[in-house]
Amino acid sequence: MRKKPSGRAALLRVSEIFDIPAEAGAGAPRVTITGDRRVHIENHRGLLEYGPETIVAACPGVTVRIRGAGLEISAMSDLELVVTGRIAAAEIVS
Amino acid sequence: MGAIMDLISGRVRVELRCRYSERAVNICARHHIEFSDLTRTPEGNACLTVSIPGYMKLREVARDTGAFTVGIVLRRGAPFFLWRLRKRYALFLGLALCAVLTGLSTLYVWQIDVTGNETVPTSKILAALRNNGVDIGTCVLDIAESPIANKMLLDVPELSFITLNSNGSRIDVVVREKVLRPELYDPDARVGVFAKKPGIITEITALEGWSLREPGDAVDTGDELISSYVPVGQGYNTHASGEVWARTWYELTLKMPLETAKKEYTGRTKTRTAVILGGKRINLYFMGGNPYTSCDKITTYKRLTLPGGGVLPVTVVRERYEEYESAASAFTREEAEKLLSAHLLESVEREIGDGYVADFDLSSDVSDGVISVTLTAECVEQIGQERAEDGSGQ
Repeated sequence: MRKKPSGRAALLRVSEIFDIPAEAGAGAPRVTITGDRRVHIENHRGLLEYGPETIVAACPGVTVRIRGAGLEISAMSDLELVVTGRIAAAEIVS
Repeated sequence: MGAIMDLISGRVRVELRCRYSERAVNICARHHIEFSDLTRTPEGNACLTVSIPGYMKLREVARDTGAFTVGIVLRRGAPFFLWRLRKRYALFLGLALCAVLTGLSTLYVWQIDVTGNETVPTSKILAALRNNGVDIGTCVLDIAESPIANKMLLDVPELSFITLNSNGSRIDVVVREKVLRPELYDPDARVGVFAKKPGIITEITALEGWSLREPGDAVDTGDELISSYVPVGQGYNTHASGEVWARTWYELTLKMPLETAKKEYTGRTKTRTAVILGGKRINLYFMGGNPYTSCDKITTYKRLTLPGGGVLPVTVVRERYEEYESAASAFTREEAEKLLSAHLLESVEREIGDGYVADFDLSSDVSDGVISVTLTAECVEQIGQERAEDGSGQ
């Protein structure tokens, strides 16, 4: 029997059909990397881990892991998160 | 810019002490407490920067949830600086006074800008405005723009339009000048050329009309020199014009005493200062009147200006008194003659305009200590003057 899609997956599907940005329609995370110095994460759900070498942010459906050196959370609100420092990698962990 | 705003609004660096600092940070985010510069201390606590309202909210959240404790690491910004100065009452009184004075100053005219004038000097318009009660330092509320504009049109007849726009403490005066109607040349007007001075004609050039005189003729003031009636053919009338050059004579006399009183300054001086603030004079001295029996008074007005050129409604008045004593002074006859003859020649040259002095003679006489110098000058000048003819001509 075919598995019924979750609410979030359904929203993502609808966003795709109607060509609506997923971060607006389905609350999907949006990760913007500027050079190797700044990562901007929108629609996060909180920090799971932070330190000068790794910052892990929980996002709807995924986890975003930033690795690098001298990492610092330069600004944070309930929706946005800005990480600065020398960025080595940004990973999406489903 | 952000750093400047942080300094103005104030920021607090706090340390969140708890077992799991990620949890404390997430609680802050969930309670809409915006923060920045999150770092982890060696002890594992979270160190972050929040605004003052954010800090108040953070303390509330910490108390309500009990998940962490808050410790201040650093306070910076204007609110904390002012808080430290809170017992300096004179400072705050001065600030309040300054604010009140700044507010009051906007009720007074600080600057008057005149635009639109090309031939009428700005100083003339400003002087007329001053006569009508608009000057730097005048209360803006006292300026009735429309009646003043009407009076200004009467006071400065060269203007055809004027409007006063009050823009805070600045008055913009926009003017338009009258375009004067040019004097029309009427070729049919019965105008002749008459002698404005007596003399002997040396040259007569009739551009229009008929010459009634010839070179060598002696004429008196008011004699017609070029007639508007031209007796050629049937004869016709025209607007006479032309130039009539003639030899003229002047005899002028100037007198002056050879002995006069001369000022000898004693070297004693006194300076008094006053301030004119918005039209009101404030004397910065106690005793008025002249400090010396005989003295010169030199008054200088200095209007204070800002570096950009803006004029302040403050004028500093300095009155300098220089004491002198009267002493007799005598001119030699040669000195007096030289002085008076120069004045006499200057007077004649001013009188003859484009003409020139062909010859002159000076004579002097001293009587009862008074020297009298007489100049007799022979000049060549233009004596023709256009004027409407009284009669009907020929």
